[in-house]
Amino acid sequence: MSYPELKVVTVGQFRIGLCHGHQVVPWDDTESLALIQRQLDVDILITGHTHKFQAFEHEEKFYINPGSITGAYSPLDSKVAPSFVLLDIQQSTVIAYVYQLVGEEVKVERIEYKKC
Amino acid sequence: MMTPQEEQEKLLEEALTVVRTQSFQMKRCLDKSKLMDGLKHASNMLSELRTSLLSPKSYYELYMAISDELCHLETYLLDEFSKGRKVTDLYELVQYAGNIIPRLYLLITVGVVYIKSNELSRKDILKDLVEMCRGVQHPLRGLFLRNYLLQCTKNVLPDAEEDAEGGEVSVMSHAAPRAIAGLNKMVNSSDADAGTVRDSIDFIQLNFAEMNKLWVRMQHQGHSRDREKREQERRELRILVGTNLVRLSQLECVDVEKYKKLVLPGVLEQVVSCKDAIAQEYLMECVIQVFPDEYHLQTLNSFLHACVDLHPDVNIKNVIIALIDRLAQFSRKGDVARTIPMEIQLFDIFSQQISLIIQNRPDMPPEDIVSLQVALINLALKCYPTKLDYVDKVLETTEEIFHRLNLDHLDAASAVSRELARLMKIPIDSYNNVLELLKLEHYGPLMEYFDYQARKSISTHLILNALENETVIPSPEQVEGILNIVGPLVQDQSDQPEIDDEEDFAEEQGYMGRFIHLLSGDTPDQQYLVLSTARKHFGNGGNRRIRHTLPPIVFAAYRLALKYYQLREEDEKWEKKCGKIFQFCHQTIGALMKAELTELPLRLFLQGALVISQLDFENHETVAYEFMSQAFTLYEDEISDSKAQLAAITLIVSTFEKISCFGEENHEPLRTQCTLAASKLLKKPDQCRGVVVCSHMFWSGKSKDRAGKELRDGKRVVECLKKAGRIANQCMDKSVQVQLYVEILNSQIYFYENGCSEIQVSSINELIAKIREDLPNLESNDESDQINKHFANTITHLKIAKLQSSSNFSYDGLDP
Repeated sequence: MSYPELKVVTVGQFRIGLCHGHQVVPWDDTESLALIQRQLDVDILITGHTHKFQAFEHEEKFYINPGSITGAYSPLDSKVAPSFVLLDIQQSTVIAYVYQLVGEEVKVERIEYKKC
Repeated sequence: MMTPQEEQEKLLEEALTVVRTQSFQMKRCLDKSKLMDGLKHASNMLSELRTSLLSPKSYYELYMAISDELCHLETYLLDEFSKGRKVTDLYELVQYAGNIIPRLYLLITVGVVYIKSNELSRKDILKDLVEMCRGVQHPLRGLFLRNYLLQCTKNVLPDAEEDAEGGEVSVMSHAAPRAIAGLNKMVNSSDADAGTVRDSIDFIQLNFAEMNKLWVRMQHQGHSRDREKREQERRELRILVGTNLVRLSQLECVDVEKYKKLVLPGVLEQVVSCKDAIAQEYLMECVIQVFPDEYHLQTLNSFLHACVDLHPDVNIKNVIIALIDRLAQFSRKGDVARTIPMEIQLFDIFSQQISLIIQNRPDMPPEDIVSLQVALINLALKCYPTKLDYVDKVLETTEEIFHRLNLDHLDAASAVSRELARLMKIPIDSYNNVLELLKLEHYGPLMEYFDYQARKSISTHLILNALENETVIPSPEQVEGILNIVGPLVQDQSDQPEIDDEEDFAEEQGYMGRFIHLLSGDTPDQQYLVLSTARKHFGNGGNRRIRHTLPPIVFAAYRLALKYYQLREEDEKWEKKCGKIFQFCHQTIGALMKAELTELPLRLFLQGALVISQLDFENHETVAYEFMSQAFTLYEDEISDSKAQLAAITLIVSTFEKISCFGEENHEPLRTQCTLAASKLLKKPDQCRGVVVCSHMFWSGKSKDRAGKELRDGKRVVECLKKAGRIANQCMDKSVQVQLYVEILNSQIYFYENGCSEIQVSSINELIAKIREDLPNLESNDESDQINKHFANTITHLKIAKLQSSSNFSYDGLDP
């Protein structure tokens, strides 16, 4: 089974780009992620590979790394806290609900992103 | 010509018509106080029960209708007696009825009236009635007659410890049935002794014995070809016989002592001596159902002993299992008072008696033997959960039996295999801890009796149980133990068929991969031994398995190395141990290479290099270099697909970019090799992109000689980008070319904004102009749309960046 390296899906008003992230050099570098964002012409770019949760806005675009849902081992990070993200897409607003397992507790964060 | 069914319906209807007519007449006579006439009609009605033509089902319906009508008679008589209008010699009078059936039914009815009206000795009447019924020896008619006796006497059976009068029980001869005359002498007796519970027990026991005899006699009536039909009819009537046992259980004064001494022995004797399989099977189960569990606990030996002597056709397994299950349930009810008394060695008793039973039945099918063992093991687990040796004993016994019967390599589809598999799964599901299983000495050996299919199925069940319960396996011995038991999942077996379903295989190997993550020693040293043991077993799994099972081991080893590093203050040997671990990993990944895998070992080497780079044990730079070059060798020798090549070189470069442990001596050759490899990619676009990727090595690659700081070799970066541009120029496909230009432009911007001053704003301008020139010439399609958007986004970014002031760069002179 082979999947494409990059994919763009449109949900509502948002173009969402998906890329695993190991192809982006250097890994986990904001500017290099921005390169992909520009190339795919997306509002939201979702990447992974590092098993580290991240969510931020950069030049009015939204970047998400949901981390690892199982807390899988990563040589880049000795302590991986399991996490995942749900996106609630309503018109021109996206609300990201971030679930993280910190110790025995599940912590939930809410991050909003508005399309300009 | 009517069908038998229709004939029966007709006969029944005819009989019921007579019943309706006669009962109507009877009631009319009774209303006019014409007792004798009423009795005549009752007698006519009862004559219908003399028939031999009705099937048991139809006879039952007739019987029910008539019983209902007799109630009226009883009520009338009770009423008369209560008003003092005793009918003299009624008991004698009713016996003048012509035929025995009507005579006896009427006798019973009147007898009960006498009892309820406190006339005569209750005890004597009961005795008389139960004996008189011997007069009907026809099985069907006799069964229903005696059932009528049971039903009528339901509420009048004496249930007291002593004589109601307070005195001792009067001595009467119980042997001979009462003559009519003798009984009449009692009419005037003021000593109407009520009887005690003993009398009831005797009464019911006798009735039961007689009914059982009649019931058994049915088996031998008629033609041998109708045997099946007869047996079916017998089964329809079984409740009639069973009701006697129910009645016994309803006697309140029967306590466990009386049950032990007076009730059970008589019942068992009748059951065993009748030598009839249908009766025995039903009645034994009946005994278990109607009497309380406390009683069974106290009489186990007698009951089980009787089981040994039962007819070979009796499905003894069902009887024993019914009993064991009840007792197991009973012990679990939680109430302290309900636990098994210590002196009753339940397990031992059942274990021994079951052995006896099996010995006595050489023809017992092996699956039934196993079913009994299953019941025993359930007993052990439910009643004695802490006694592992009981469970082991059952397994040992089973193994002995199988050995004795020369059973081997049981076909997975056979009943005995399925039953044995059930046995094997019970401890797994009960303990929910595979480590407990290892304590059962005979568990492993018993596995060998199955065929491949069954062994695999049980092994899978075991592993899944471990996964669900997240059972950690802490010692190498335990790892060894478990992997030996689940052999079919680990290594090729001598009796293994061709693997047919790839998906299933991958799924089951997936379970093993997950299982590896449960292997966790209490200390790092212990963990190393655990992993080594696992590696040894899984390493023998063959090429198809190791791709699933060795990677988790490698990752577990990486985690262990990190652990040692974190605990380095406490362990002076940590560096050597880390070295050893990576040697272990090297060998393990090597095994994957020998299995002709390429992507997988390449990635594992790269992951390893990353880990090694972070742990500064002695020589770690050399080891990391070795891992990197192994990855590179794989790339060069094994990866031939061009798409895969670009992906691989990108991976190598991006990993390398993160590694900071190399000194220049090692860093330089790696940089060079990567760049060379990139420029030798077959397709131009791949070459171009590969070279762009390599530029990052020169910029953010980290060298040990610079104390982990980035190289930031701007000159080499520019060289790479220029080279990429030249390669792009050589592309024939215009849209690909422009796409590449836009990518290169973005890379320029990336480095420039990162502080690479060797990049000139002018060259950025140049490239922008070139793109602007070429874009309009592209064919209008999806691809060019995308390129346009890409470019537009890039320009937008530049505009924003130009307005921002930054210490890294300045976009003065930029012409976006």
